[in-house]
Amino acid sequence: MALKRINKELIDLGRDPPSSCSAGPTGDNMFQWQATIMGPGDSPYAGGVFFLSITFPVDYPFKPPKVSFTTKIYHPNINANGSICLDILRDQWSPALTISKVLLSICSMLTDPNPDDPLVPDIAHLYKTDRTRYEATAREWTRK
Amino acid sequence: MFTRQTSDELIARTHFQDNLAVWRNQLSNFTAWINGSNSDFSLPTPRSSTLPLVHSFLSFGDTLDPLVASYAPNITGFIRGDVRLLNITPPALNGTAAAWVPLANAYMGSPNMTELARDMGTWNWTTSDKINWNVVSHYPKWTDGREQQGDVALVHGRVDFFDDDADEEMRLNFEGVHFVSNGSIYGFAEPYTRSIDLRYLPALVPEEFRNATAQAIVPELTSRITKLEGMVDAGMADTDTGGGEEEPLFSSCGFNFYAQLAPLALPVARMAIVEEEIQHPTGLPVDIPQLDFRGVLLSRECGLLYQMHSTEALRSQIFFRKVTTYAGFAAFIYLALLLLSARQMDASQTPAGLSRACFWTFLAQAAMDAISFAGHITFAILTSGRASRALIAPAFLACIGFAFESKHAIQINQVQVPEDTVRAPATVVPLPPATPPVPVGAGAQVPGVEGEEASVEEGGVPAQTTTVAATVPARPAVPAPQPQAQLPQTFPGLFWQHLRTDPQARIWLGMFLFLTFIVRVIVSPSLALLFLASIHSAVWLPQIVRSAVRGRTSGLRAEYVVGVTVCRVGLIMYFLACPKNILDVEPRPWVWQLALFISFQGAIVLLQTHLGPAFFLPKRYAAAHVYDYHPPLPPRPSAGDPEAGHTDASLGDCAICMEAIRAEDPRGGTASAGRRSTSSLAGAAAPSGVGAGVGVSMGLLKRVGTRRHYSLAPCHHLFHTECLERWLAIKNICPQCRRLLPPL
Repeated sequence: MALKRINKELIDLGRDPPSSCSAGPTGDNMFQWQATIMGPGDSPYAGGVFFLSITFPVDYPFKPPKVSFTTKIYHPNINANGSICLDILRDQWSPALTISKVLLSICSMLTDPNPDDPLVPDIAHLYKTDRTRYEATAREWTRK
Repeated sequence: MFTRQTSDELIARTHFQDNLAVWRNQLSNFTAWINGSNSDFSLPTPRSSTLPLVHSFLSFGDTLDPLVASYAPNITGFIRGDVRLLNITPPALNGTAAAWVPLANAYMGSPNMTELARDMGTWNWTTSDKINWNVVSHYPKWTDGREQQGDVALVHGRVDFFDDDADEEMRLNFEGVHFVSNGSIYGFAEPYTRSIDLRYLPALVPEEFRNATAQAIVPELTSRITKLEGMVDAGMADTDTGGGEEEPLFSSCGFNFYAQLAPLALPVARMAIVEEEIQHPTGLPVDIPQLDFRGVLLSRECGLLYQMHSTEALRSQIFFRKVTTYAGFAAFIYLALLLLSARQMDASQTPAGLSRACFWTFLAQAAMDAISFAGHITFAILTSGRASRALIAPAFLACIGFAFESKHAIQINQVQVPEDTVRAPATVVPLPPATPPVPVGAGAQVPGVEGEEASVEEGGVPAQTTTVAATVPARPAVPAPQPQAQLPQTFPGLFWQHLRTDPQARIWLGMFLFLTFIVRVIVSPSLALLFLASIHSAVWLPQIVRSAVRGRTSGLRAEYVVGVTVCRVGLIMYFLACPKNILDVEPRPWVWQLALFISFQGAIVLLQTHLGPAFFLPKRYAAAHVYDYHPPLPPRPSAGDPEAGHTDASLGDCAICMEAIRAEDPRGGTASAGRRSTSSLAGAAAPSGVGAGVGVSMGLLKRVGTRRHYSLAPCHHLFHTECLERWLAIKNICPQCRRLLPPL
């Protein structure tokens, strides 16, 4: 069932690709994907291209896929390892969610970080207290 | 602590020293008396009428042929017996014409009836028809630990009178001598406020035993003095010797106690082997003879004569063995329960499984195990002796069982807490898209939900908008808080209002009631039994009710239901139906009804699994509000489905596997679905009025089968049954709108 559904998602992604992101398997293994997200224009990440790795569990879609950034990014909800703190990737997962929806959620997270539930408290603190410096740092990291 | 002596300790010390002096004086007088020299002590001349009177109720044993029969040499143990009261005061004897009456008259003489009534005190002598006699027998010991073997053993202990009506008991201290060769026992039973003077024991025994008795008493007195000396030297303030037990003094009647062992048909040599085996078990297969007593309790002060009959003696060693056996039995039962629970919990670990079991069933079991743990561990700690240590095993297992069951109960509770909130959406009439409402169920649309639904239902296919807002599905709509109702003016009204709205208040009140109740239960044994019985009868009852109300079977395995019923009933039957249980609980006649009731419940739980959760209810009451996941849906016209690729029969995509859902099972799954449906037939079919699954026709099976491969959630989201089932095993929310879903 997992493989069928992953294939189906891949076909849907090809037929109706979401703006500003793309995803596909890295090799023969359909359970291992790579995705890219273009930094949203209204965020300090604009102009950046971020790579993510996606690993599907064998009981997908009943368990969430593992998604993490491979590109370094300065964000309150993403740590240095690229791990993403997003509820739909953890306990709020629902089998009706797809990879394209997950990627869109990550996009919106880039625009609107959630500093109240941070993975990196320092960045969250900076985001809350000194927005301009946060944006500057994020822009600088994006440029690299 | 050691240097600072309180005045109490000092007083106790002086008291001990005084005692010691008195005892020493008594001993020296006594030895002088035995030796025939001048002394302050003289044995009162026994009444000549005493022994004849006793003889008319009790024949003292003769010396037996050692090759044929013997008396048990050691009577340490618990002896229970029924007693018959004979009032031997002259007024009561008037007009009675039994052979013993003249003897009794001679014995009593002309007593002072007022004094007699005063001595009798408040104890209800006429209703006490049972006594317990706890006795320890030993040969007199010299101070150096040497036992004076011989014919005379000293016995001491206590005699308890029971008043069943008032649920009271009166304790008398007992000291006496036991003549091993002829099995006769003579002693004093006195209220605990009076200390018994051993020196007067020779006055009780027949003339020929008097010397032997006196000789046995000397070493006993000596060793007691030594023991007391040791205690005084060690500075121990043992309050036991002071008789400081806070017990109501019912009466100040002192009794003379006469008893006779029945001879046993065992040669003396054989008896010695049996005795050795009892004292130091080696596994020798010996028949332990039952001790049988006849006895008379005689009180001149109170004019009472109790005849002891149908006694039942339990030797201490045998009792300890019984405790060990019981511990093994209980440990086995708890181990079985533990295994059954573990297997059951493994089977119903998923939210779907948890939602079927009943919280109260597991809570009741946890409570039982908690009580059992407390009971066993208390006995294991409080009672001395190696045997009681075996009780730690069942206590430990019960403790683990408690942990398991309470954890499971908590899990069940967590899963079931949202049930009440899910009720409202669950009663929504399933409205298949673009079809007129199907008259299933009687619920009404919940206002406020419609709007959301409309947007989701757009185009029949679950809306897959690309807006960011929709990617994270909306949380279930939280009902707006009700405007505060006008506060009641009266205190009870206010209290009730508070209790209804504030969960904390409920917790505190519950805790208060619970603690009050527990304390009450502990202090009153009869209430404790009632509590135990009610908690036992509540094992399966909530489960049955829950299954019937929810229209779902318990999900409990048959082995679990049967095993738990047998184990729980077995344990309670041991205590309440077995007349010789270790706790000495009187058999209660109602326990049979209780056992029958519990077994009946277990049978119903099992039948519910096979015949449907509400098979015992008339159809119109049966599971009226259970949500039906499989209403008949007509195939949607293909033209209305722009997403292409679907055949005419398609009902849209399943959001879980993203495959089309067809009205007819494309996999030709009638057979397989039919097979599946038999297991949960009742759950699926009952709501559509099929009710109990008795005599299900093949046609029905087919119909149910074909409808079962799709499931329409109450929020109008359509899934494959298989997919939804798998998801509901993980979480009971709708994958698309996160609304709580009723069990599938």
